[in-house]
Amino acid sequence: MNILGISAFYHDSAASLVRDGKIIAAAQEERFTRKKHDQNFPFNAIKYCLAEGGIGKGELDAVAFYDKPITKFARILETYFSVAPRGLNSFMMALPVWLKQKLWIPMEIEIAMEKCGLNMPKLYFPEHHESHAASAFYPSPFQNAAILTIDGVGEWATSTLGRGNGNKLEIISDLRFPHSLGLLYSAFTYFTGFRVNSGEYKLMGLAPYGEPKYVDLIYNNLLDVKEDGSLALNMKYFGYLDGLTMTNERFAKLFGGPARKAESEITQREMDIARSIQVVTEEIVLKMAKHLHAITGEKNLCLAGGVALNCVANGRLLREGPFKNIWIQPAAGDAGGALGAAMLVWYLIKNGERHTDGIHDSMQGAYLGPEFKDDDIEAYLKNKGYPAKKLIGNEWAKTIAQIIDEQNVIGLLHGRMEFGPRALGNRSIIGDARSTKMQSIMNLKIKYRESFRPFAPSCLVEKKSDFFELDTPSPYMLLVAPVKKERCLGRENTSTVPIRERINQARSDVPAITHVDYSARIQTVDRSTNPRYYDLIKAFEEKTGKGIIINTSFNVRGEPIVCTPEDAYRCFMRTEMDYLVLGSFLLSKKDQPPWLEKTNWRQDYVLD
Amino acid sequence: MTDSVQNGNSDKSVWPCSKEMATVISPSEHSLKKRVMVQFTVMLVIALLILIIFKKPVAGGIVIALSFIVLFSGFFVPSFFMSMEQFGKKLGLWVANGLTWLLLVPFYYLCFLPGKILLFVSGKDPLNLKFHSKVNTYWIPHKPAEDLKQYEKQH
Repeated sequence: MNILGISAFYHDSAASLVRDGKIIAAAQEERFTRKKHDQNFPFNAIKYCLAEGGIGKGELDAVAFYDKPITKFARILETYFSVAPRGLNSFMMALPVWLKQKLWIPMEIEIAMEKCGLNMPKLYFPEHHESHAASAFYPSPFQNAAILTIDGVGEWATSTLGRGNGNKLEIISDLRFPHSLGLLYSAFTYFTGFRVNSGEYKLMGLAPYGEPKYVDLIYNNLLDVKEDGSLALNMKYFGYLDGLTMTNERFAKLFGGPARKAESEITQREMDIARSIQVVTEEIVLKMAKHLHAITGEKNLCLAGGVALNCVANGRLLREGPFKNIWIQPAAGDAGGALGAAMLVWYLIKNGERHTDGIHDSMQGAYLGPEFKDDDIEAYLKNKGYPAKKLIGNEWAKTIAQIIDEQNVIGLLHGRMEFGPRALGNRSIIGDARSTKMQSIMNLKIKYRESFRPFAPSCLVEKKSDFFELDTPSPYMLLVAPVKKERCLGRENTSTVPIRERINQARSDVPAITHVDYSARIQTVDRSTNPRYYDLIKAFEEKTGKGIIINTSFNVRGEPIVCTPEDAYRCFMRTEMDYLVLGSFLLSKKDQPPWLEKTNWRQDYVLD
Repeated sequence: MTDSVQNGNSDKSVWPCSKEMATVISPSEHSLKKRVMVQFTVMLVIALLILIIFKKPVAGGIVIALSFIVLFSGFFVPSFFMSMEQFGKKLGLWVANGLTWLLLVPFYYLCFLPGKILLFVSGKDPLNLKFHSKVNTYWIPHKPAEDLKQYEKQH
């Protein structure tokens, strides 16, 4: 049975294809349209998933949309009933979009099916948080688990507690709009000058530079948190019910001044605010997890929803939480809802059989997107006249390891594209983690992004404990753990040193991936999941003695991660990367023809 | 915690390496000629309506002239046609925005304000905006789907 899952019209539209419970393909629309966080109907992602599955006429059995649009619309109308006569601007923004598009989802799906030459199959609409819960539980390695979903808002629910058993999934209780941990975090994202639904991970990255000065202020004024992690927000301080901003004047007054303007200087206040909300978020997530553990008695936890991408909180949950095992959906945001919805239809509605071994998940390393075969890449390179060298067998890993050791920055595209926000070695920019200059070089000359932002490491799974205080694999870069103490240099309090100086301080013998608080967002690489990437890091280890490299997403600021060889080549030529790897082909910047563009390409991307 | 199953068992890539080789679907992508013909026909029909039903020869003549400008520029001076089209789109957007505000502002106050008053009078608080710091928990028991048919509904 073939089931297509779709998420759309909020942010990060995506599609997935599930066949008899097995994930065949999944991709976000932004990768094809080159529009970051594209929320439009995912025509291209659907087309790709159907092509990957070889789906012809009459072969698609069901389509699952990731939420219930009418319930969501009813919630929006009830909100206006509660806030009128305020809320007009928000209403004027929202209603036309709903009337024009969001209320006609079956029609949109029918058009997509027609364009793909397929008949209209049966439609299903699980709830938003059910889709998240399904995306967390069904692909997990566990037969039984507690499920925690936390995001901004779905229909009404903003967080849910649930339980999975075999192919059954049950939501036990929920928190409801407007009381939302995800929206609270987004409010602070907005207030510190970053984009909502996009800049949350920047706020998380900024947090270690600050002190938790505002924790009490937040608890005393903005919310009431119970011991079980449930919360209510004091809506007098927030603007998202009746306005076009997340916070209001009263909020600004509480924090001693207006919200930071985007792209303006980041001050100590923003750093302290970031640290404070991060502490509050971690405490609430821990309380929720403890309560969930108490009511379910499960030893395993599955996590999804946008807040599950907060890998610092995940790391704390792993270290201090009550659960023995934790599994987090790598596409924990709304894109993953497309996958969850399709899996829910197979397991819960169609009663499909589910097999687990307690160790391996069914995400296939999240490598679920398009792959480009060497023959096609070669044809593309020849057609364009781009000089390249083909690396055969072991030469591939050895040559790239050598180039990294020579302090070059490499764009790496091979295998299937990752599903979810993280590049896991198939659409990555890689470099030497031992370098003290690499963080600045990559941030300012390659990614063109804020210099405070840290880089993540990819390390061999069996060497994780050599570098980090971590004893569990982290294949999806969703856990933050401290760098081993013996590797760290000068852990004295540096809060009086200006931020720019702190960035360039060497903090360990792998300085490029050691964040200011001596932590790192880790990806462990397993040969069974990604043999090529594993061999590359292994070759680097054989050469240098360290089985660890920098891995950052293959894009520039504001651009979606590259999908095709064409996207990769364009990004390579626009930045100061030294080499590009396309499948088995190695391209040197020095050998390429001059890159001529008539327009300023940076205007193509909206800064996130 | 992952398995090694790979789906990519085909020898050919299922997605093209570059845009030139792709057919990226855009919901409203029509060829220039098609757009020219549609706009010309619509304008001509409007002109005929003005002439025949409203008996306004001058206005009808102007619309006919404009329709032929669209036709000829579309085929022979596409850059001029596209500029006109852009202007038309902007004009359409302004008019649509204006109409939206004209219709929806009264609707908002006529519908939601009385609703808010009713909620206030009846003491209801659907969003739980009031702080209830004395309650033990804010978790609300989730009502399970009555049957699997519920998943076929949009609400």
